Parts: sequence; structure tokens; C-alpha cells
Amino acid sequence: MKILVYIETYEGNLRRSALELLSYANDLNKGTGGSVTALTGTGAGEEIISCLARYGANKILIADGTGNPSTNFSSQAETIRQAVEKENAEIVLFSGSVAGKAIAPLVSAKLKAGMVSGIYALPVSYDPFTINKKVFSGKVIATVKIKTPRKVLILLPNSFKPLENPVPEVTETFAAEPSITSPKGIPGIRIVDTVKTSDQIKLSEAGVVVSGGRGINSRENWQYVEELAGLLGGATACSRPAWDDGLCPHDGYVGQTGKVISPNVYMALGISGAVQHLAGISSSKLIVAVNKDPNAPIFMRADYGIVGDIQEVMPRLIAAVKAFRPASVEGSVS
Amino acid sequence: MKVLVCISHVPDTETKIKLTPDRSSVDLSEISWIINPWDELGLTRAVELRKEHPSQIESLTVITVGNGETEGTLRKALALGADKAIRIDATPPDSWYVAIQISELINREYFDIVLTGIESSDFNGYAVGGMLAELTGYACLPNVSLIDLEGDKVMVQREVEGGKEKLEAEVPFIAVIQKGIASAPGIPSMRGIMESRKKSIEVIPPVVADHLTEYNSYELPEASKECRIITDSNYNELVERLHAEAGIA
Repeated sequence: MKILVYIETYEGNLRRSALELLSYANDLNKGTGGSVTALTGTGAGEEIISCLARYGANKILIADGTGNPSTNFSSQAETIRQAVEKENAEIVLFSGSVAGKAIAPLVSAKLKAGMVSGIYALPVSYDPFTINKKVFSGKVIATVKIKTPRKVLILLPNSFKPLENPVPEVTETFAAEPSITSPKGIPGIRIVDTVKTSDQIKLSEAGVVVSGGRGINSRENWQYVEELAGLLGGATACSRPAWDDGLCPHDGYVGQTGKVISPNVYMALGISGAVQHLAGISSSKLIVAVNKDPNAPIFMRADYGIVGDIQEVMPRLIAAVKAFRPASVEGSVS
Repeated sequence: MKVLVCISHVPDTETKIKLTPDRSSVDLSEISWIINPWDELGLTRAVELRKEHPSQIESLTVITVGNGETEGTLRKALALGADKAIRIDATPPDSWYVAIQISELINREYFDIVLTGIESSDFNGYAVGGMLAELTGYACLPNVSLIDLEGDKVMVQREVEGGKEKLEAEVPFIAVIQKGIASAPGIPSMRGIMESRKKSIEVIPPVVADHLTEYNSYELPEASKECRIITDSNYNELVERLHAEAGIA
């Protein structure tokens, strides 16, 4: 199949999700043959280009108008549409990032291509094209058939491991025509101010997330969350009750209406595990819970549990991590 | 300004989901229904906006695509403060179908501000808002966590990768709502409930539309293994296991 992958960068660096998408695309093509085109913006430097080829992008298409997701989503979607037409791609792949989830439905509508979000594995069948996705916030798995020849897929972060698959470096630049599909044009949108909260980006892609709940008890105890996350090269997060109580420095929380994440390991510290919280973490591969209440619902979902008070458990757990490997681990790929 | 809030009628998020015996659909028999949490936050903010700027918000309409069973959910939206509810009488097969139906109404009636939740808590599609923008030609403002009126300007804050942007936006636009837009969902007052009974729910027939995807079968994820309780003496073993199973530490 011909696959087009929408590559996201952040502050000049390739995002880990981009490599996950390329590995997914390569695996999709394993049975059927085909090619993978990586669509990136003009800002992509030499290092990014060679990395894309190393992870299996047969062609790197450098387009004007992509690569900076904070500007105009509609015009980016139009650029992607034109790239899809030009490459005659059957599958368009996005990551389930803030930008991916925003742009993919616009592209889906422009191409009238069936879209499935929240995918985490290869298709169940190629013809007809059916694929599994999580629904009801992870409580159910649905098998969805895409009826259209073109398909838009949004891959859950951390669901596919980036694997090198070097191919020759082929690049092509491409200038998209200005949008012709939007009759009303883009009304004036003026950016007045931007605020950076850069831990947010880390959270959606982090392999390890250390998260604090109301059981953290005090702002002072938040240091345990930070320290463990630092040792494991992970990101920090919190539950809604901890957020409401101001126990954590975060801008948002993980849960049903908050951030939905899919790390390899989720460490729930002092989080009871209300249904709304579990909805945000149900795609985590391993869950470790620390809670003083042995009947807390989080233990129903956790793979490993420690029953005890945060203040007593954490220093010992942190010591055990340090003992396993004394030096702190380098952070994950940015 | 005319405001439209798109409502998805979804099972209560606390509901335990069961499947029909042939697994071709979700068993809807014992489910209680709610307004999709993100849509409810969007509606709450729209009601607040009108309280804050009564002269500027001329009307507040809610719309859903659904059969007669969704009327309880629309009544709740009316009780929360919407003036009028519209129900497009169809059982929607996918997001594209929903977007087509709602875009027909927007194209016919015009709204200045259209609010949709970023996803629905049942099918988690992340689709309708963006599709609506394409189908109507309205600007799409994704990941919106704040809307305010300052004089005759509409101020919007949206989340972007690694931060936030504050925007001054010209109408019309579609704002895709995420957390933060309202601090908590509104609670209908007794007066709101009484008044909602007098408000109308307009039922309109659907237009002919395709669906691009089909939900054919469902399964419940494997029950997670029993939680292994770690005691003081084997924290080291936990770290080793996390290293072996997930490559951490």
C-alpha cells in the first residue's frame, strides 16, 4: 500500500511519535508491499531527514505549510490533502497528539476518507479493511470496517515501538497550491499571546508516567513524584482530585475529560482509581499502584500494587530504583 | 450572536458496558444516558457566556442526531439553559454521517459560534468538529479551553503542542472543546427544569448521507491479571520486573 505519514516536529526535533508511525507503516506494508512517504515541513534539517530514512521512509516529501502545528490547521490539512493526491496514498497516518487529532478529521473530510482514531495494532484484515480501536474509553474494543478506498488512521502514542529499517534517502520538495476548497476562506484569527507549558508534550509521549493523586496529601510530598519520574526518565501527571486540591504544579490532569495517555508504565501514587481516572489511563501497558487503602479500585486494574502510605513507601521504592541502577537514566527520545 | 452546541447522547461514564450475545453491538438495555461530558462543559460555558453578556448572545441552540430516546438528554440541555433543541431523527452509523447532518443545519441557518466536544465518551472518535468545519467552511479552532467576549471581540484560548495560544477570533467558527472550558458541568436549577418543559424540541428528518466506517463487532478486553501485591521485602523485585517487562529503570 502507499502510505503517507504526517511527521511532527517540536522545536526543531523529531518527535518520538513520528518514528512510531514510520515503524507502524513499515509493518503495515510487510504483508502487502508498498511504499512509505514521510510528509514534513520546510524546517526539517539534515538530521531529521536522515533519521526519517533510517526508520524506513522511502520518500521524504518536504512541503510548505506543514511542520508548525500551532499556525493554521485548515491550510495544513489542505497541504496534506494535496500530498495525498499527489502520492496517490491509500493510507494517511497521524499520531494521536494534540495536532494529529486536530488535523486528521479535516483531512478525512477533505478526502472523504473513512477515519479511525485510537488504533493500537495492525489491521484485522486488509480487504475489507478492518481494524480494532478502543471505545468507551478503553472499556470495549470495536472492530471497525473502513469502506472508502482512502483511509485516515490515528495511532495511539506508545502503542508501536520505533524500529530502525534503513532505506536510501530520497527527498522531494513540494509546494502546495493555496486552498481552493474553503469557500468562506479563513476568517481572521489573530494570535494575541502564547504560553509555554512544555511538560504537556512530554506527557502524551512519555514511556513512563508517574502520577500523584489525593493520597499525596501535601505539596511537599510532590517531590517523590518528581524524583521517581526523574530517575525513570518519565513525565509527571496527576489525578483530577489532586489537581482540584492544588497538590501538583500541573496545568491539567489525567482522566475522562482530561488528558488521555498510553504509556508503557503508569505509576499511580495515592490515586484511588475512580472510573473517570481509569478512562484516561486504560491504554497503559503496565500499571503500578501505591495506595494505603487495600480496597482502592486502582488495585483491580493495576498489575503491581503496594499497600502503604506514600510517605513510607516512596523513599523505599526510590531507594530500590536507585539501587537497581545508581545513575539517573537519560530521558527518552524527544 | 447565535450559538449552537452539538450534543452527543452517551452512556453514563460510570456504566459497566455489556455486549449483546452475538457481540454485534453494545447492550443498551440497562444503560443510563447523559450529555457527553465535553459537550456538557461546552454548553455550560455557553450558558455562562450568555449570563455574562446577555445583550450579545441572541440565541443558544443545542442539536443532536439521534432517535426519540435522546430526548431526555436534550431536555437536560434545555434545563441547563439552552433556548431550543433540535433533534435530527436518525440513528447515526458514524461520525461522518453526524457531521453531514449537522452541517446541513449550519449551512441553512447560520450560527456565529458552534461548539462541539473534542470526542464523545462512547466512540472516542475525535472526528465531528473537524469534519463539520470542512463541511461548512467555518474556521476550525481545535483544543479550545477558554472562550470569552471582550467588547465585540471573541477571545479564545486553545492548547497547542507544548503550550497554549490566546487568539482573537472572527466569527463564524467551530470550537472543538476540551477540558478547562468550564470549571465543572452546570447543574440544572429547579426553575431551569420547569422552564425546559415549556421549551420545544424541533424534530427534523435526516438528509440522505453516506457513512464511511462501519462498527461490526465488539469485544471486551481481557480482564487484567490479578494485581500482584508487593511487600517491603521485594521492592527490588518490582524494579527488576518493570525493567524486564517494560524496559524501565
